[in-house]
Amino acid sequence: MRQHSTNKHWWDAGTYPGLVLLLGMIFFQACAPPPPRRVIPPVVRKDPFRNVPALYRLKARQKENARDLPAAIFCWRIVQSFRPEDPEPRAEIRRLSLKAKAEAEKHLALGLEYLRNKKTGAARHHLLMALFYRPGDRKALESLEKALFPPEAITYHVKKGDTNLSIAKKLYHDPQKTFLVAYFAGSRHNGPPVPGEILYLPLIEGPPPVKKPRPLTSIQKARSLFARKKYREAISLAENIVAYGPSKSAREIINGSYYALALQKLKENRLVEARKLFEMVNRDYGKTADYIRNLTNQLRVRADYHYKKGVRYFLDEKLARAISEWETTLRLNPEHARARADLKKARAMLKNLNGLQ
Amino acid sequence: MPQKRVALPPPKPRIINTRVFADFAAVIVQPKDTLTSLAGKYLHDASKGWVIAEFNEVNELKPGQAIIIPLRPYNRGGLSPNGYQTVPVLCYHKFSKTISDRMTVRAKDFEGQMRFLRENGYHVISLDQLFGFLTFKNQIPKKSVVITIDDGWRSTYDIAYPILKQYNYPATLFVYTNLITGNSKTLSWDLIRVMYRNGIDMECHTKTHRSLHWKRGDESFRQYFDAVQAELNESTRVLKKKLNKEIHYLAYPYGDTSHLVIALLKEKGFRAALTVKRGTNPFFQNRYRLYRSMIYGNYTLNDFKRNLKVFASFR
Repeated sequence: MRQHSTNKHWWDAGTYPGLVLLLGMIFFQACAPPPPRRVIPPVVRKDPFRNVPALYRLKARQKENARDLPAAIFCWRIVQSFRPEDPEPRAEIRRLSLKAKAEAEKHLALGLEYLRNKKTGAARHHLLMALFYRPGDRKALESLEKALFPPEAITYHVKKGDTNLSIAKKLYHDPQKTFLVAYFAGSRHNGPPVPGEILYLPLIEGPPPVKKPRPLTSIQKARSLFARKKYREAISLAENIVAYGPSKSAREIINGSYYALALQKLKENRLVEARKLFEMVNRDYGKTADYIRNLTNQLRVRADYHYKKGVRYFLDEKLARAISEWETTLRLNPEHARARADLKKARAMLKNLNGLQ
Repeated sequence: MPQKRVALPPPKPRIINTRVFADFAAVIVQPKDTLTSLAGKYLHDASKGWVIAEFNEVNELKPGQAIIIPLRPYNRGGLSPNGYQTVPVLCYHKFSKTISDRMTVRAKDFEGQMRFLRENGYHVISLDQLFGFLTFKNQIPKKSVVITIDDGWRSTYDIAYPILKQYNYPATLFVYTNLITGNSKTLSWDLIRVMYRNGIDMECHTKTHRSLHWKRGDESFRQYFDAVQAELNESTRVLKKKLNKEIHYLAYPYGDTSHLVIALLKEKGFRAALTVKRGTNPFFQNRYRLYRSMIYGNYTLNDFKRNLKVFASFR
């Protein structure tokens, strides 16, 4: 008896339905249309930098025309990076690099020549140009420093037998500066100077040169004028300063000068002028407010006196004298309304009288 | 049976927007790109947007634009066939909201001066950046300016600091340490620390603000030497202790210096020192005698402009 196998598969040749199914599948597979083939279009890679080489080619030419060779070389490097297959940028970089090198060497030689001849300005120009064409030129950079800076220190080669004291005497002509030699030598090691060692010791300037008096500033000039009691000139200068911008010091000079002038007029009993000058002073300055109040009162009294005198002349038909008195009244008190009105009337009458005559 | 061909949609072209070479990177600007972001990405320093702007001669970027980013300094020392770059260093002392005198600049004027710098394309750089330029190592913006303030008056914090912060300008405050008492007119160390943490560098202006140039009449040379040493050592020690930073620069009191002072500065490791001699600094300027222009309180904008020369012609 055939033994029944439990692990028999449907495609096993011995199984009939499996065989049919397999053949059917093969048949259908053969008759079916082939699967569509993927047609992959070529990838169009847009180059967003396509304009850059042309732009920097143009810039390189412009920079070269402007004698800016390092910038021109950099522009060509940009072109070369984008167009490595293009021989032009490579050739241009080589050409310009040689040109820049030649320029750098020419300027360095000229700079050193001028430096030897102590023509500092020309040396500086050529050394800077050498650095411009070859920024890494250490010789140009060091020579530039030499050309520009006067030595700040003394370079001293220590000899056998030198001590800090002997060096101080030799260089500074002053044994008291021994500590200075020790300090700057000792900043590198503690101990006496060693033969062969190079010391950099600061130059010591002599006593301060007698300074020329500095030209006085406007405010100093104004102060000086005030001190010399040239009040009008002090005021004029200080007012210029104030017109330029607020200045407490200038304002002080103005107040002080007007105040002093007003006191002078007061001494001379020229009260009107004194009051006018006090009015130019800040009320808080000194006793300005008190002076103005007292002067105003005094002038009012005097004005009234002259007004009354004028009235008496007017009644006596002495018009010219009356006019003179009332003019004095108004000078003493410009706000004297009655004097102003009467003066106008008297002048009109005098004019009419003169007309009749 | 003929094979039927089915056309598939073309694959999206692969667009390369960046190419990096040894000396430069070429970039197609994307909508989100700015000078700052590109500088941060390619130059590893977001503040170097000016490198891209200056090389490509643009003020701003447009999407789709091809730009070149130089990866190394391409013009150290600001040299050109016609001349060389110079850097103005401005020097202020005191500020006030209302009054101005020689040493006091009104807030309105200071703000106007800072605005002028911004509107006219100047870049305010730090002293460290200036030092890189002076050593012929780094390139700086063509129109570079350094701002310094001397002494340590309270108005630096009350008036100048908010304006500098508003414009995001770095500055250096040269402190003379004896002045820092924190009274109504002077700064305190707390205020100095606040400014230091926010872009204001603090450097040395000695201890007592004595002139380092000449010995006093009653001093021996030794006493003078010791006094100069003390001025430098003590102020540096205090600044280091209070701010936990190294001190590299000195502003000479009254701008006075001498060979001896310079020798001491070199020996103590100072990188540079500033005078108050009016002028601007090329890269080959003596680093221990840097020019610095005082900006006075009565300066008009035209007076201010005269101190901003950034190029010296050979002729």
